[in-house]
Amino acid sequence: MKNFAYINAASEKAAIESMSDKALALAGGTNLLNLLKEYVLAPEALVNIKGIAGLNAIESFEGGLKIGANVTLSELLDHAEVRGRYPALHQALYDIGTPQIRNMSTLGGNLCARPHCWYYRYEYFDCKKRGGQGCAAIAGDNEFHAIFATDGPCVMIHPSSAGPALVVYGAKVKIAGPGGSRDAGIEEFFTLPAAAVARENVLKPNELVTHVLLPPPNGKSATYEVRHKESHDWPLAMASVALTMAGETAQEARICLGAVAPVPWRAAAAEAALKGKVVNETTAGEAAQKAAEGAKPLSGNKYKVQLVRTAVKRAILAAATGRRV
Amino acid sequence: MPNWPSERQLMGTKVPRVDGFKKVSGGAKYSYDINLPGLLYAMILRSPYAHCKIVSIDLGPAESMPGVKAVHLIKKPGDELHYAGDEIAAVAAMTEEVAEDALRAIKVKYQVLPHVSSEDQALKAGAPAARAGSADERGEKIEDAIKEAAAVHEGTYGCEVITHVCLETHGLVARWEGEELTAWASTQAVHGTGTALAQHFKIPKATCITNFMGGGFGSKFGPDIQGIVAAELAKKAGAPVKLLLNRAEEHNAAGNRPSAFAKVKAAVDKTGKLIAFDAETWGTGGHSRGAGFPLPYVYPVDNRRRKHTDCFINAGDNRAMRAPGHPQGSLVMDSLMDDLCHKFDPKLDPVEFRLRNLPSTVLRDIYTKELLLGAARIGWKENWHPRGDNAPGPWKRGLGVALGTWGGGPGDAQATCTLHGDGRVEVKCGTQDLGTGTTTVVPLVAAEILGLQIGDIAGSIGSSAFPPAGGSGGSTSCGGVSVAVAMACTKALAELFAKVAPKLECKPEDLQAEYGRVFVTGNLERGFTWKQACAVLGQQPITASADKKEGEKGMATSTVGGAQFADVSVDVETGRVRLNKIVAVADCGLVVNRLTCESQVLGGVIMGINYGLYEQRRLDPPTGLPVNPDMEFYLLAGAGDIPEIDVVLLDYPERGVIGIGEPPTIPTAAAISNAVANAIGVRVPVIPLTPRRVLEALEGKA
Ligand SMILES: Cc1cc2nc3c(=O)[nH]c(=O)nc-3n(C[C@H](O)[C@H](O)[C@H](O)COP(=O)(O)OP(=O)(O)OC[C@H]3O[C@@H](n4cnc5c(N)ncnc54)[C@H](O)[C@@H]3O)c2cc1C
Repeated sequence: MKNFAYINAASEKAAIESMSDKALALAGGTNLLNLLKEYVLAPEALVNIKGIAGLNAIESFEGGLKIGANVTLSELLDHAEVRGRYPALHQALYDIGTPQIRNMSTLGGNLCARPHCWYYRYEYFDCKKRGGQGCAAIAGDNEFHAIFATDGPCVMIHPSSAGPALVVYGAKVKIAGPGGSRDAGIEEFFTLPAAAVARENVLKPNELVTHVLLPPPNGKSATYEVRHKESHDWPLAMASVALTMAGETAQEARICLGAVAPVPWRAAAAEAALKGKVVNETTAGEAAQKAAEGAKPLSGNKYKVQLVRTAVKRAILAAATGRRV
Repeated sequence: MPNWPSERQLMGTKVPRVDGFKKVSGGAKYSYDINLPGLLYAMILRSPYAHCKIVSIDLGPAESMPGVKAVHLIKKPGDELHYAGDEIAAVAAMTEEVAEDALRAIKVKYQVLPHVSSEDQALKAGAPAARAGSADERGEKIEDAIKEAAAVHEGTYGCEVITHVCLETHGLVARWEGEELTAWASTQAVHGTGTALAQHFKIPKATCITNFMGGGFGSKFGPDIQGIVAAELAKKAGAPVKLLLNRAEEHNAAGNRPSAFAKVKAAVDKTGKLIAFDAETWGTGGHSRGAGFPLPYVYPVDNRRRKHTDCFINAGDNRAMRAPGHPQGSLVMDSLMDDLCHKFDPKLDPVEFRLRNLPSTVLRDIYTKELLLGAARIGWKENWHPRGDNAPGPWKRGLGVALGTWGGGPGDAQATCTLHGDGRVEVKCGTQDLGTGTTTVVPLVAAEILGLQIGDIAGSIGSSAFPPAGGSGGSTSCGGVSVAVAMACTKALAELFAKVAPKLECKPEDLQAEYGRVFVTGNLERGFTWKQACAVLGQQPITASADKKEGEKGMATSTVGGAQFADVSVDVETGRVRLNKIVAVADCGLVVNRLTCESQVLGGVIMGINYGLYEQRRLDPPTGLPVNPDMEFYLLAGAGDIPEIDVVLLDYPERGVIGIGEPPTIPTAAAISNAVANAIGVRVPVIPLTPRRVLEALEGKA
């Protein structure tokens, strides 16, 4: 890895003043350090943000939660309210990496983590995100890549498992920059490669995620993840679902997919299909079919369409019944 | 004929590793942990293309970099590089970071050449890279037999290239003292590596030390390029050099198990016996090595034909990997057997079908016993159903079985046993412990022969300064080492008896050593404690040497058979395979250490699970560059992926010691594949059985 300066930021302001496209925020480092070692990123400086006061707490906020960006995934998993009131988030985080990885990874880092793509990770491949000419995944081995938004310049999948759950809860991301602080809706936070191929979200190089704001949940929710291995693996596809129920009928449904698109992928057609329906195997199955509509798989990942259907159906049923399927 | 004691105190019991505490407490120093004063760190520059030629190379920027102490050229301009990872040059520097910077500063101009990165590409007409290998034809009645057959099945099966993924990567630490070279190497052959280094540098001898080792699985028999380079750099720099590969290099350049594909047509007669076998096979073992594997495997068939093609592609070369060829043969053959059984009679029990097709060799009885025992342990009678689980819901359950065979005869080994006047016992043998437990075998066997406890023996292995022993390959170490140690101890004991007998007024042959005493047989009282007995030696210790050849007839043999059973559940809506249980019935003659023996079987099964479900070396089709030379995208089972593994060791003490390292990894993947076919009603033809492949197979069925 290239030598870099290490800047310990004591405050948000100090961090923002130090950060640039050559001076990157360092949180848990579980993602960033790999990329430095592989020479994918070669910044002049790392700005450690873990020492900033106020970014490592989970607080009650307007009936929901305000989560500091530096809160670790393990801390979130251990939090009674996350487990009790936000099961879709709890279930999304539950199987990430290993206990060691969850102990180090922060929520901010999870939302800002770079693409989970072998063509991005190895510098000898062509990759537009790294300033290259094309996306090697399109003609290459794309078994684990996107099946939605595949006509863009990059067919990465967004690495955040937390993302889809935050989307169905309608979370907001608090962003601090030189001009002060602003809140972005979670869906506006993530951006498609077509918008700007070099990044995955709206952050400017000198902006910091400081908090995630979770509104109070109104209904039932769950996440279902399809993965190959039990231990130390990534999802092949996942779905988070939040349902506002009246008896057995879904008055409102929010459904978001993970690991199948360059951003957490909202399944609007599936939501519409479920809205107003009694939730059961049949209606969940119908919504699942809709969730896969619009998928344009690549040469090697048609199977993921089926995984999306399964994940959506199982997440809907899990949300409605409160049982893991 | 020499033989093992008929009543054994230690052999066959469960003995914890003598170095276990060191290993779990960090006290064990592996080659990677050897840090010498003034140590330099070396790294290798490697080809960034699947196939290219070096046009020019400028080492200047590396040589002039502060902290760089030596640079060594491996290839020269004009040389061809055959795969991404092929070695070009190496540097030694004061830190790893400087070494890496220096590599990146070396300026190389390449001429990129056309490459081949898959078996399919190699087989295409006009491709330069496929070479017809062997053709083998026996019996002349294949076509006739097929015509008269009760059932014929035709299928295609395959296994991907996988790598060894040794937790400790390849490499060594090299130190010169004048003309004397010492290497702390991660190797399966301390003597072989020492000799090869000495030959390369034309010096009388080089010492190779391997006190602890993090796995080799067949891939670590010599110094390799990186070992030679480390010693070259150490010589140039006048300082010790450490060169151990990183994870990507380990995947790309340190060996692999070749792929294996087979298109087979086979037939059975009306009794369900194999009568014809016709196969076309192919695979890749890299850019210059073949991809052979045994086929037909285990089950004999008289009328058979096989054509094999080696596909040479621009990838790292294969190396022996735990039972070379056999897991591939097992996957193809036992998948075929299940499919053939199903075709012949969907209701016929595949265990029964196998019993009808066993070889008429020494293994017949062993396999029979194993099949029946294993079937009982997996609950075959209660849970086996014809192909396709009709239970409601997405999870389908199935059972599968497969067989494997291996040699495991005693490898070359010599040992010495020294008895001291104060009762100390030293046993030395120039073998090595790959993690298999040889370090414990040596004192265990010595204590058995001398009637002592393991703690009474100072066993030393892992250095080419000790009596020569062969490389640890082919599951040959345990047999060879056990016999050599036993014979050396027996001889030393005989010398001791000769000296003690006069004191007890008896003949040496009347003496016996047991329970920590030397005494007249039949009268425990008439004797000495071990210490008292050794005191007769005074200042003159006894040293006896022996070669395993002196005792191998009678104390060791070869040829084992094993049977494994898998109980799986498959989620037909995601293609995910979950293992419920594996039963491994293994045969290794006389068990030396039951604990590490079982541990070998467990490790073999886990490796087989990885082969069947997870591992696959992947090369980017357009460029031939590796996409997963790591342990994240290259999948390996974690603790949560390992089911209950029921290990059953068949005891055949009368056969003597036989190696167990390789055989237990052979049939696991085939048993899993058969269980999956039994569960979902369709064969997933190629392993690993990924969700994608399982779903595609299900789609093909529908
Ligand atoms: C083997 C393995 C398996 C994994 N499996 C999963 C999985 O299944 N699902 C999943 O979601 N994740 C998975 N992860 C990824 C893991 O969750 C991320 O690596 C982790 O969340 C990153 O958090 P971090 O705090 O370590 O971030 P860092 O590595 O420190 O940073 C990651 C990126 O975010 C930026 N950044 C960090 N914090 C901020 C901030 N507050 N504001 C602005 N930018 C910031 C950094 O500059 C950097 O670019 C896995 C990781 C590994 C190694």
